[in-house]
Amino acid sequence: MERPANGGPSPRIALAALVRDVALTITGVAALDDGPAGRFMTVGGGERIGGVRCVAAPEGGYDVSLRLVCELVPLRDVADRVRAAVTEAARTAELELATVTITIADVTEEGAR
Amino acid sequence: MLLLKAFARLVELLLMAAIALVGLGVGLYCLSLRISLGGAQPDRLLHLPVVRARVGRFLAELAAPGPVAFFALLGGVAAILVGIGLLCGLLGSRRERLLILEDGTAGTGGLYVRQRTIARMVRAETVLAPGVTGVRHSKVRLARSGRHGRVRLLASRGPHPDAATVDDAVHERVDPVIEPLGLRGDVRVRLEQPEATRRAES
Amino acid sequence: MAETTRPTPPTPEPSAAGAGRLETDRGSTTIAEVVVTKVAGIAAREVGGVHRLGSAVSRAFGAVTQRLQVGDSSTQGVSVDVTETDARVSMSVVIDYGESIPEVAQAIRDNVVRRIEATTGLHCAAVDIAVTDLYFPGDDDEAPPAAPVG
Repeated sequence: MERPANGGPSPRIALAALVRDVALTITGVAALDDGPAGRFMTVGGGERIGGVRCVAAPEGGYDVSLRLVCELVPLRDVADRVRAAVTEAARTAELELATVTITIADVTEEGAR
Repeated sequence: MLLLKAFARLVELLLMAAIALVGLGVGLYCLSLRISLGGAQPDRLLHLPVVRARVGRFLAELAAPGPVAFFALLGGVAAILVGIGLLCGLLGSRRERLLILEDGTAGTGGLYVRQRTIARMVRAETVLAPGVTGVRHSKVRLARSGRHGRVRLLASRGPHPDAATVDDAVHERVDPVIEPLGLRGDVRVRLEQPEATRRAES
Repeated sequence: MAETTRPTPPTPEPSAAGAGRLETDRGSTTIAEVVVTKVAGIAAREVGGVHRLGSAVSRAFGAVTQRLQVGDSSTQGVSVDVTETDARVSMSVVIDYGESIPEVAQAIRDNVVRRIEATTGLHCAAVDIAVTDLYFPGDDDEAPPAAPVG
């Protein structure tokens, strides 16, 4: 991965932002969760993307982890859809994903019934 | 039991405070021996030398027969009772009495009802029965196994031409509640004593 | 924190980047224990006849922690024991006066099992229920009661 010469966001940050945006569009996802210590996030380039962690994988690509707050719907289904959407979006952006680890951290009663 | 527990807590708090103060006093006194705190002289403040003298005199009086000794004896006995009360309060059974409706071996989980909840339920049913003016005495006693037990209830009724009707009414309300719980009922209805007699008795 | 994790089965897909190279979607999904607890609590509160969860003591305690914004009332009165595939729930409930205790308990069990299995995929084998109090209309209440869902 090359770092853009103009000093724009690194691919890692771009990926984290993309993952967050995509995840939030999935029905059943209410929000992302910053974790118990409030530190589960990707920080860099002046941005803080909460609920997403992107770590470069040794074999290349990125290991992405998400913490989600979901509505009261079948959760594994939501996770599968998030994983599929995120992978697809990354592919479109020509970013490589190694693994997508999802944690459903909480549920909220608001929303879908 | 509840009173004893509350009592135990109160004494506990007071004892803690007392011990803390004594400790502080002792500490200050020791300090004054090492470090002259100048004008403060805490041991003077606490009148410790005076206390020592007085206590010495008091102890001497204790040893001798007389009124002081008697009060000391009373105090000693009271202290022992306080101690026992404390122990009972602290060691008293903390586990709630629960009626076991399902013990969980069936695989679907256990179902438990608090003894006090059952008592409340039975009282409520009793009071709603026509003719009943009040509940004098209610007790739910569960067996050690928690599987069955007895409900003992004494209800008051006003003057009524047919006492049996009230009795039936109470049973009609209470039995359907306690039978599914596997409890035996001992419900009695007594005529409420008229005001005059009650006042004379109290 | 105990969690349930299941690795997702890899779905191999041919990559456009190069012939013969397989891209697989890999990763695991974990459901936090607090989620199971909340689902159980929500399911129980939905049942008609259930006034609220929790015993008197835990409710008073919960009211204080809520004011201090430490605790969370939505998990009060419920605890779960979670493994990879199963969940066991324990709860304290306050039931409306006049309801049949065994019937309400069965309804709670049915709804909790149904909700947990539908939402988390966990098999809920047992639900322990302790009825700690009755609610009489007119009782003094701190928190708003659960709205029964028909």
